[in-house]
Amino acid sequence: MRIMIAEDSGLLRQMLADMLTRRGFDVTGQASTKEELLSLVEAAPPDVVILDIRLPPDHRDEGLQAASQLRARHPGIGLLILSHYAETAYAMRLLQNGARGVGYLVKDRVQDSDRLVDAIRRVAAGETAIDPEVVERVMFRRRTADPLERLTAGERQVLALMAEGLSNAAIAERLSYSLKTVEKRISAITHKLELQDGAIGRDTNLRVLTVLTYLRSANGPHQP
Amino acid sequence: MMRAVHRARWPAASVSGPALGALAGGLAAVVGVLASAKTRLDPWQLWLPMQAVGLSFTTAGVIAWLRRPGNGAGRLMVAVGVVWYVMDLRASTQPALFAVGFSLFYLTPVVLTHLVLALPGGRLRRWPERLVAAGLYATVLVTQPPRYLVEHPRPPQSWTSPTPAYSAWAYAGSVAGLALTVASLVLVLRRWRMAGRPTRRTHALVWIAGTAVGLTVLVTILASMVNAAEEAMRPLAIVYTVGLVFIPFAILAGVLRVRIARIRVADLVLRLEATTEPAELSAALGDALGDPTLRVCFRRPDGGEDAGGYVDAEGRPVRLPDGGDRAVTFVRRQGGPLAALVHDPALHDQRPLVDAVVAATRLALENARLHAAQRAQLQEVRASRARIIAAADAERHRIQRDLHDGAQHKLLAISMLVSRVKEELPAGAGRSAGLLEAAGTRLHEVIRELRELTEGIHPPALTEQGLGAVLESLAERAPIPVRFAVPPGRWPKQAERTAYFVINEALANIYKHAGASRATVCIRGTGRILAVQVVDDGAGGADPDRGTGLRGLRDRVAAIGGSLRISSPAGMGTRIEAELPCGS
Repeated sequence: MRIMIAEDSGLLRQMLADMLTRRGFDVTGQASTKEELLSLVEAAPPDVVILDIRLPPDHRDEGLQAASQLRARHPGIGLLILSHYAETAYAMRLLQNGARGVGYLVKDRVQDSDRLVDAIRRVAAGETAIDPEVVERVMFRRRTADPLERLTAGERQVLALMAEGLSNAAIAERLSYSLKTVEKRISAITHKLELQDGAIGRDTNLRVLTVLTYLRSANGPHQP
Repeated sequence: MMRAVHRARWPAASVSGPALGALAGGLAAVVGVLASAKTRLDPWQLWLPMQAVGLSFTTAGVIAWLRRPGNGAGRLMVAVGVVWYVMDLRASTQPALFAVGFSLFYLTPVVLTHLVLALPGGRLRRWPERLVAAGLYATVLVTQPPRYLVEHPRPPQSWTSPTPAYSAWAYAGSVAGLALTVASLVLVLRRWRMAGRPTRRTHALVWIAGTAVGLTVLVTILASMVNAAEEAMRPLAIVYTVGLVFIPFAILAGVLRVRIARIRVADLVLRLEATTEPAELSAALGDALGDPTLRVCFRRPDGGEDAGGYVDAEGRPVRLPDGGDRAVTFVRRQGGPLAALVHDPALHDQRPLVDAVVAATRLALENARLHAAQRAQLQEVRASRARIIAAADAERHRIQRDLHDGAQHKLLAISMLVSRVKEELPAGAGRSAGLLEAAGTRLHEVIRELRELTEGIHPPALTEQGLGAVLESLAERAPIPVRFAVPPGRWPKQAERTAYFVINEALANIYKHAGASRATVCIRGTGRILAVQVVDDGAGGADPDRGTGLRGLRDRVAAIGGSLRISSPAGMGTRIEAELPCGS
């Protein structure tokens, strides 16, 4: 699998490339700026691009801009954002370009090469991968009347994994449930939270967006 | 008489000059009347007003001398009065007195011309006037005594007497007198043309009367040169006399005008009371002094004593004029000049009035100056506060960037190295693997803590994502339910940053001190104001005067020109409201 990396820090970029090479990936390009990355991709589109959100010269959200440009021109390329911060706002912005084949991981994950590799594979396969820390933040924010209290502990676990972008099978495997149990829990969640059935069904990518949007808005902004 | 100029410096002596003048004028009048009454050369109807001319000059001169001892006009008027009666000696039957009267006969119009040219200050200031006056004196003193010696019979020097044979001296005197009279008229006309309004107003009567007299003299000289008939000369004599009676009272009116104007100072005081604008101050002073061209210039707080250290009402630097057709009066207080009035030079002759106006103005001027200085200082303090905040923000940003680019990346690299070492450990190195695992966990904790620290230092998403996104993540990390009402949209950077700072600080206070069960953050944005409201249901009793948190908030909001209200009655929760300007 061909991978390109856009990362400002040369040290981190090199170590990432080494690690990915060791894990059997083909690192076909390394860039430190948005322009560099875009021209590398134009020259030889890879399967997955790993990008930092902040890139020189302004260190703002160049990575996200690059992601949406890449998505528009090369919808087939998987995009994995590595962010210093577990900012839900950034994750949502990324997902709004279409949740297929995108991932948002907190940079700490580089330590856990298995999880990083898993995310790369899922993104390459067109799935979605959202960092558990981001999910945790939206799941466990304090609410005055928490609709999540209607869920059982098990259902909440399933909901979190749905938000991370796991498929039903992957959830079943992660929680050591049968697929049947997972489906039953999901239908209970959909019912209790009054989510739209269609959005929660088969397409796990759309499901991520729906769940995260729900969690962010549930008892969130209001007019006092 | 000239000694009186010096004596006038002593108050006790200031009366003796005018008294002597009055005595001399009185004596001269008695001598003149006695000398001319018996052998009247003129008919009664001319003789009587002519006697009045001398007395009126003396009287008005003495009054002006008393009122304005510094002005030479009073002394010159007395001189005209005295010389007037000396002229009468020509009617005396005493040969010696006749000689004096004959020789000095034309001295009266000469001293009178001297007086008119010397107005308003009573001194001949410029060389053309000095030259003309000196020429006139010389003409009389050089041509009349030879005439006395060579002309027989000597003409009686009456206005209306038929003329016998004149000598060449007489013609020389007439021609010189003619030329110098024309020159005097030109000088007076030029003065009129160049004078400002106050000068014209004060001296209009004098100049008109003076010009009338001058023209009469001119015509008389011409008439006498062509031996005109007595009947033709008489109307001229009447005009001359009436004009002469007028002049002393016109001059006196100028003196009295200053006294009338003093009443305007009282109005000025009232008007200044309501005035703080420097431009209005100029207008008020101009009105009081009758000089609409008057301008007030303020000394810059850092300005020196030189002419360059002044600014006008609008704050623009100005150079004070150095002589020329504008004059400068300085308003001083203990320290030095406070301001300068640039005005018509004629006001110099109204010294007492100007002094009164300056005294009345000093306080208002000082107020206006302090006002301006205070405003400038406040402006500077505001600007400096905003700069300090901006510098602090930039510094936070820099620290965050440094941590991000340096420590955080290096820690991440180390954590990757640790996990790689762990992967490459040979099987069976269980203990080492466990230690590396623990090291990895610790590292992860450090990385997370550092991340949260840098996030707190400067919210990374604020610049790109705006208030809404950043507040969302604040809510996600809040230990109590926090509800947000944030309209979509963006505001100026400073306003957003300050709003974030206010909300973050207010929420931190709520978590720490209020014991609240929930909080609400509401943001409303009109075009010009970003209004932020943070309300909790906690214990209340927050005191902005204690602790640095709320005071810091107030400073921060004030730095961008906003306002902050804190309402925190005990047991009723706390409400913090900030209004932040969004103008440029």
